Order: sequence, then structure tokens, then C-alpha cells
Amino acid sequence: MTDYRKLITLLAEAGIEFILIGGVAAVAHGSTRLTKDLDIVYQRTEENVGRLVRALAPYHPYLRGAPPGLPFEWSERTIWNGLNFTLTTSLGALDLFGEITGGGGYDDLLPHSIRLRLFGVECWCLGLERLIEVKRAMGRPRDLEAIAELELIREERERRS
Amino acid sequence: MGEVKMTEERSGREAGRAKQWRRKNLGRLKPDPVIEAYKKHIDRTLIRENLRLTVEQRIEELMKLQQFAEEVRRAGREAERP
Repeated sequence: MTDYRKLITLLAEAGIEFILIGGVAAVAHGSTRLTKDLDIVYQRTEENVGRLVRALAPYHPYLRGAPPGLPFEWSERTIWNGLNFTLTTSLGALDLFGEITGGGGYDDLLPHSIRLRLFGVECWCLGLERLIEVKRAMGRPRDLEAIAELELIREERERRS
Repeated sequence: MGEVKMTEERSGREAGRAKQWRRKNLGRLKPDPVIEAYKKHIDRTLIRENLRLTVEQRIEELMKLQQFAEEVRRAGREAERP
């Protein structure tokens, strides 16, 4: 089980620049759907990658679904050599994205994000409109119902305002 | 005279509506008929209920749901054992 509270507070308290995306961002906007991992877009700067590596190291990040014993090394070099990482940690499943389809990287998404205060920390969360756009850009059949729900949330909010 | 005033009022209202429409729809993706079809099967009452919660409460609910799903899976696995 993923401990969203601990993961979000860990990342925020370590001063990591990140944006919540995916299922948890959808839940933050009002989605009722179950998600099993925390998806974030991280800023690819030297300082931020360093902070990310140091903060997660005690929680043993490893490639999710990969057989045990692979020579996977959780380090800044690994992050710079890759872009997106699907990880398992002792706090749960965590997906790190350097870039996302239809959305770009951290700096591209930040203007479309909202500041959330939760669990005593502050963090960025991708705005509803952009979240719908990136999910539609990904074109995954499994997202269709999630997109429909997000659009209904938008309609509901508009109806209220 | 009255007609002119009415026309002005109407055009003012229409301009307001057009502005509202532009603000709402400019840059927004066109509705996708497949997604529209999916919407018919989504329970809006659950969305309304969820929108009454704070963001923190929504994530807490997610964790509870995840815990519940995990428990049900465990029970299912146990029941399958000979």
C-alpha cells in the first residue's frame, strides 16, 4: 500500500521541486477512483535531482516489477541517464517523470499547476484543465473513464460557480 | 426608442454571454464522443459528495479505499487456498 501522506510530506520537506500528476492529482480535484501509486513530475536540475536522490535513498527505491538482484543503483547518475522511473519504495509505489506526453517537463507544467496545502506541507498539483489535456494526449484506453470523470468534475465545478 | 434600448440590452447580454463562452471554451479541447459516452455511466452523486471534502480528506479517503481493497484481495487469496 502506498503511504501518500508520508511520500508527499517527505518530498515537500526535502525541498524537492515536483508536481503531483496522475491519479492522486485527479483525487485532489475530486475523483473517486482508486489509484495505487504516486505520480510526480520532478524538475531536472542538478540541485533538485540531488535532493530527490538523498530524500528517497533511505526508502530503498527499486525498479517496480523488475526481478530482484538487478544492478540498479539509486543515484544521481541513474537519474541523469534516464528520464522516467517506475519505482517501488518502502513507502509504496512512486513514479517519477522527467517529462510527460502532451505536457512536457516541470517548467512547462508549473504555470498550469495549483498550490495545495496538505498534510502540513505545500506542494504543486497539476490543474484540472491540464490534467484532462495530458490524459487525453496519452490516448490510453484505460484512461477514458478517468477523463470522463474529470470532465464531469469540471462541469460540476462550473455549475456551482 | 424602447426598441433601441432593448436591442442594446440584448447585445450587451449577448456580448456578456459570448465573453463567458470564450472564457470557458477558449483553448479547451473539443468534446470527444467516446468520452461523452463514458460520462453516462458515471455516478455524479459520488463526485458531488467528494467535492464537499477538502483535498486532504480526499487523499485520506483514497488511502482508506486502498487499505480496504488490499484487505479484500487478501481475503480472496485466502479463500482460494485449498
